[in-house]
Parts: sequence; C-alpha cells; structure tokens
Amino acid sequence: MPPGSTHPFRIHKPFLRVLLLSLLTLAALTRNLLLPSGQGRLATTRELTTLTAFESFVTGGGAFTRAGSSIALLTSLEDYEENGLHYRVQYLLPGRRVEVIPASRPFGPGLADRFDTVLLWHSPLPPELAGWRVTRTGQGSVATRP
Amino acid sequence: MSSLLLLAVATAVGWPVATTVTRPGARTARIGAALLLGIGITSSAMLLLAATTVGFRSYLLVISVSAGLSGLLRIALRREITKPVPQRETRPTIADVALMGSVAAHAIFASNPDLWSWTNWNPSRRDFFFIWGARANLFFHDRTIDFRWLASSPVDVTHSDYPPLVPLLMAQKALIEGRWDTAWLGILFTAIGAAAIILVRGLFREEGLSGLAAAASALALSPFLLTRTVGLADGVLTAYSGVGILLMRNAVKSARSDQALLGAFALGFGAMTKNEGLVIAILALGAAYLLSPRIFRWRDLLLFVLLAVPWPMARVLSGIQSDAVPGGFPEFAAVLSRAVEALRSITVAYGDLHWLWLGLVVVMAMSILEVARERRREDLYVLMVLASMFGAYLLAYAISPHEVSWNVIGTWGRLSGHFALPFGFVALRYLSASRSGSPLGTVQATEIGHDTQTGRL
Repeated sequence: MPPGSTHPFRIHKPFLRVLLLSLLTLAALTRNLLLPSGQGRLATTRELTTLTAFESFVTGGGAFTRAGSSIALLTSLEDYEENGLHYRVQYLLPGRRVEVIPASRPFGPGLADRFDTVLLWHSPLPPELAGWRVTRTGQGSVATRP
Repeated sequence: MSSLLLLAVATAVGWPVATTVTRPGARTARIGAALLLGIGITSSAMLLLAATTVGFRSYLLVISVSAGLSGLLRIALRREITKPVPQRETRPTIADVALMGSVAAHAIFASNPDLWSWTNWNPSRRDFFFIWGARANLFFHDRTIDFRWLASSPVDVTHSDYPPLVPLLMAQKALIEGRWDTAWLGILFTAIGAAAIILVRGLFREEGLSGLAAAASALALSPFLLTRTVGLADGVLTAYSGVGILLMRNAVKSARSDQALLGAFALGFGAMTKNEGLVIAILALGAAYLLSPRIFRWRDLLLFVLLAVPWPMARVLSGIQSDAVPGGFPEFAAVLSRAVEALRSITVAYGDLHWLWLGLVVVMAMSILEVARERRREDLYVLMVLASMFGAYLLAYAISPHEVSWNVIGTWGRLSGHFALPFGFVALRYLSASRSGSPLGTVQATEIGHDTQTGRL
C-alpha cells in the first residue's frame, strides 16, 4: 500500500472516532456517577442475624475478654465456611490468637488438652469437655476448664 | 481527618523522588506521582521496621524513616537522571470536570459506612473483612508484622503470603488515630485511583492527544482505577502495575530514563501490593529489556529488586506458605487441560465492567490493522506484556489446587481489571491520535518535545 493511503479497514472517519470515544466516555462517566447508588447485594436477614449475634457474642458478650490464654472456638461447619467466622475473629479481635475449629472436625482428647477455654458457637459441647464449666452468653456458650 | 493527613504526608514523603523522575512544569503529574511514590515508600519503611523487629510504634517513627528513605533515594537518583524536557500543562476541559465529578462520586461511594460495617453485611466485601482489613487491623494491633504467626496460621484462612502494601497503608491511618476505625478509610483508595488517573492523562497527552481527548480517554479508563473494590488490593494494583507498564511503554518509545525509573518504582510497588504484581513486574521489565535493552540501567533493576524482593524474602525466611500453588507441580497434561478449562471459564465469566471492556475490545478490534500497520515498538511492547500476563494467569489457574471454573468465576471480574489500563490505553490511543487530522489528536510535535519520534520497528 502506498505511503499516506488510507487502509480500507482503518477508522479514518473523524466523526466515528469522536463518536466511539464519546460513547466510551459517557459509559464510564455514567458508571462512575452511579457508583454511590449501588453497592451490590446486602446480606440476607438470616446472615445478618447470625453475624450480628456472633459479633455480639465475641465483643459485646465479653466471651473473649473473659477467656483465658489458650482459646478454641467451635463453630458449625456452615458458619465456619459460609460465614467465615474464622476470619471474623481475626478481624474483630486481632490481638487474640484463637484457634477456630469447625464442629465437624473431631475434637479429640489431644485438642481438649491444649485449651483452657473453648467458645461454642452454634455447636454442642464435645464429649471430651464433659465436666467443664459452661456459661451461656447470648447465642453461644463459653466452656472453661474446671 | 486522619485520611487527609495521611495523604498529605505521603505526598510530601514522595515529593523529593517525584521531582527527580517527572518533568518540571507538569505539576499535577508530580502530585500524582508523589502520592503513589509516598504511599509505596511509607509501606516499605513499615516493612523495614517490622523486619528489623523495631516495629512501627508510632506514626512519627514511620514518617521519620520514610522521609529518610525518600531523601536517600533522592540523593541516589539525582546524579543519574537525564535532563527532562519541560512539559506544558493544559487548561482543564469539560472532560476534566467530568473526571473530577467521577472522583467525587467515588469518594462518596467509598466513604459510605455500610461498606465498612459488619452490620450491613455485604458479601462482595468479604475479602476486606477476611483478608486485607483483618491484616491491617492485626498489623496495627501488633505495631509490627508478626511473621511467626503468619507462618503458623492456615494459609487458606489468613492468606499470609499476600503482600503487605495495602494493609500497611490502612494500618497507618489507625496509627494516626490510635485506634482501628474504618471511617473515611475509602478516601485512601479514591486518592490512589485519582493519582493514577492524573498520570494516565499525562501519558495520553504525551501521545499527542489534545487536552480534551486526553482527559476523555483517561475518563474512559477511570472505572478501572476508581473501583468498587475499595479496601481490597486490586484497584491499587491496577494503579501501580498498570501505570508502571504504561511508563515502561513510554520508556521503550522514547528511551527516556526518567520514565523507566518511575516505571520501575511503580512496578516495584505493584509487586508489594499483590502477588500478581510481582509476576506483572517481571514480565513488564523482561519485555522492555527484550525490545529496548538500552533503556535499562542497573540502577533501575536494583531499585526494583530493593522494592519487590523484601516481602518474598521475608516470606521464605519465615516459612510463610501460599495456597496459590500446590505442593508439587502437576503433570503437563493435567495443567494443559485445566488451562483450557480456565480459558473456557474466562470467556463466560461475567466481569464487573463487562460493557466497558466490550467497548475497549471493539475499539481495539477496529484499530488492530492500524496497530499492525504502524508496528510501533511501544505498542508491540504492551501487547507482549498483556499476552504473557494472560498466559501467566492461565497457568496460575491451571496449577492452583482450587477447582478451575469456581476459581475463575470468583476472581476474573477483579483480575481482568489488571489488564484494562494498558489494553485500553493502546486502543484509545489509536482511536484518538489520528494522523489524518482527527479533531482528537492534532497536537503539534513541538509542544510535546522529543516524544514524537516514531519508535517504529
């Protein structure tokens, strides 16, 4: 093709260039300006109930502030996986090193020996903790070594 | 307003370096560069303080060390920089006003307390609460990075291997306030996006676009920088690594060492932001070396290594694992099969900005023959980086222990943003910088100095 000639498929029409750029710009601007009005799906009522109750259990209920030095948190498998309670403890109480264990995992005598406090969230008291002192706190319970 | 104080201090920390690696006269570009550099330098200072077991006991200590680092960088770089050409600023256009409106809208969005609240739980925010915010809170609480705890915690829970720039940035705000409070945290992410937009607009100007076309093009790319994912690292990574690739492109084009240097800074801080940033940086620097080895100086590579290597080194020394790669490398056939599955999943993945992406792809498709005909070295560079990035991401999906389609669908909406800035820049440059007298691109060569050399292969 000789120098200076226009390629047959080139976007050579100035108005087309302006139109395309304007469309993209307007699309971006619309998205930017509408951004404050949309934030994605909010939680379902059930999720909110679970999470706020858990937050209350962890912070407002004082479960962790009363807890000893070696702490385990037992949760239902659903809360562990779906609601990510293992992450939440880190976020809410970053200073506490808490081992979070889904209730589906066998607790086992070895694990029981490692802790002096076990927080129970939507999970029953494991048989290995029989005889521990259990205190009800909101929707959860705190088991402490006698 | 501790967030504003943080931004002002970061800009001041970055200023001595920014004035070394940007052109005199380009005041807004300098402010943008100073903010990005300052945030990176303060994070590096905090990492240094943590690694030396001093810890970041107070904000004053962080700033003192950051200022010291910035001064050292200024002294080290001043002798090496080439004489920059003065750049003329343009008057604000209607598109600039729209850009400012976009930044303001993002600031409103990012400051909405619901985004940062447990109570109005929003599933799209889980990575803030579970990963980035949790780590920031932890770093602030400990006043250091507890490498031993990160190494001992389950990697699929804490993602201990994720680089620390964003959590350290958020921890800085808590250091100023003396408590962990997410109010106005989002402003930091708005500011990073705005700083990158300023630089992108300047780069469009250097391509010969008029002020209006440059601002409009920057506006078209702004959603990839003013992202919904505030509190997460993806928007920050796009700002650092995306701008870094574009600066290296400019260096390949014009052989300007100041652009290569600023590009090395940006890519290095990108590597401190996400693991993908390290991959992007290696690919971007490698492609630049292949195409234009003369722009490279040992200084730039050393600088990049100093910025990018400390975190991976700390990871290795502390025994921090990653859940991105399996224990052993899977068989080639399995990797290939999973890569094909990842490719198929990507084509159906529904990205956050799919319609803008679609527009950019259309523009690129219409421009591709022009791109091929002009054969500009700098555009070949960007396409090489993007192609190798895509290959690397496919490989990451293929060797990841996670189920492929679930992994792609859960992440591609965010990860595709990593490609958007360089891809969109090339597409929009061809759309706007016509050689046939388009009203969008008629800046005279004399106005932009020596950047008009063709750089053809």
